[in-house]
Amino acid sequence: MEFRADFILGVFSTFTFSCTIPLVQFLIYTRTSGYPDWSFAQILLFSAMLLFWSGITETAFGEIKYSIQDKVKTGSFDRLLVLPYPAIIMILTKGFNYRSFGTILAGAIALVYSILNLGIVVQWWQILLFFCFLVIGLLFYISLLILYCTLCLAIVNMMRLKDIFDKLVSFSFYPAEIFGGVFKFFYLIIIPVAVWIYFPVQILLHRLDIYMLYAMLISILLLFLSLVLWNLRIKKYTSAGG
Amino acid sequence: MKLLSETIRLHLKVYLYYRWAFFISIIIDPVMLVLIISIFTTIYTNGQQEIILGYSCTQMIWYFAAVRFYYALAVSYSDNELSQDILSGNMIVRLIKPIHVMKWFFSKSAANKIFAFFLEFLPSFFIFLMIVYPDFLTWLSFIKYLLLMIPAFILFFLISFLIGTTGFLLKSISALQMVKAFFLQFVSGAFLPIDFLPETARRIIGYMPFQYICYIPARFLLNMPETAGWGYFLRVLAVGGIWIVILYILCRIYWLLMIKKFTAVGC
Repeated sequence: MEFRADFILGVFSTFTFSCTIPLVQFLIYTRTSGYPDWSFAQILLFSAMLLFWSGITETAFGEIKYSIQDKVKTGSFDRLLVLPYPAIIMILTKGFNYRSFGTILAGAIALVYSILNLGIVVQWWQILLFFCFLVIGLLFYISLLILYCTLCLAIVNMMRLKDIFDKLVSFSFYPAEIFGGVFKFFYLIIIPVAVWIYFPVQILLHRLDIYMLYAMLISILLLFLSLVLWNLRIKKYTSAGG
Repeated sequence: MKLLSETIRLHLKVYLYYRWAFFISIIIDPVMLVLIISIFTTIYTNGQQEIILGYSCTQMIWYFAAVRFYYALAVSYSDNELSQDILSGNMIVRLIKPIHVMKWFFSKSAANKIFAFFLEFLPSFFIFLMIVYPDFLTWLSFIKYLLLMIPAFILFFLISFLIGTTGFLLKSISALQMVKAFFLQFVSGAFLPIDFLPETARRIIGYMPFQYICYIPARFLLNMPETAGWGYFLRVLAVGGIWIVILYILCRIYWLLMIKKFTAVGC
């Protein structure tokens, strides 16, 4: 609360910013013929899940993308290396962004409304699978953040890296039916961004798929791979800035 | 002018040291284009439409390619750098240098854009050409687009500098930066072409300078009907120039007001 005006504006702006993607989805859907196999009510559910998921990731890890580049450029990253905990743990735990909590609430409310609007009866196994994918999704997101931090250490000064990360993540903002062939395969399995929004929504819509299992396994594998790359990069790290 | 050109050269040398950072875009931008191609090919095929809101499928895809170019050629991070200098106390050093802070950050942004033009824009443009050939594109429309990106960059810089100067008052402006990013992306047409917005919103945006940053230059790149002659081009340049003068005067006045609130934080 040291910067109170920034805090108040931050809560408002984060919520508004998070509503952008669902709004873009709505505008595309209403001004064009929409997406195949998705009704308007189902797209609303997808958008609500998108809002909910964005709130979770921004609240838990929102500050990381901003802080890591500054730390590496100014040299204050070196301080993390002398602490008695792994540097990556320190980075990940310092990512908490209080401003996005409102987005989680808004997303949860929109999610419940969409489910009621669609008349879906949610079974206990769906709730279990839903939370399972939330956890797997978080692990996969963490693996991408670790890769992002690794790139920051390697490149040091790249202002667009955050934009690029956000654009890559934006693949998950659209249902799989948008993509065809190889790209759908990438979306569902190779770089399974579908675990964040698409698969949880499919679970709620009673549309299970074998790709869900593959995506879970790949997500866990990518987490280990990202940690290996991070450790390799740390060994080659030479301080920059200061 | 000599001082400005020397500081631009200085920053170019700094960016030359981190030149590999610019090459990342060459890999990532085509991947983003694939996403755009997938989305709009599906939308156009699903609706069995050849034209949506005046855009053919190829033009719609290239609109979003123009948005990628906008990030390379126009977007400036001066607000963030200014804010960080204020918070860290580096502003003291900036203020005693024989160059105005605004000129310093402008030269830094200009150097970044010069680098980005050769190492981000040109390679991405040629890769996009190979992926989706723009049958509508002509040399004239391309040159007009490049010429319009110069005032687009200046406009974006002035807006960023205005936001960054607020750091003297608020100290931390991260939230304000988010508001600016969200607002600018929406009203400049970086999220979606402004044609997707309701009529009332389009009319309001028409009175603002933001569409000259992304949306209108993109329409020149797409060689849309209204961009055919020189009349509209010169009118856009003139209006963009007027907005640059207005924003420049605003920046100078705002700077004079805000600098009085400066107290060094940290050293």
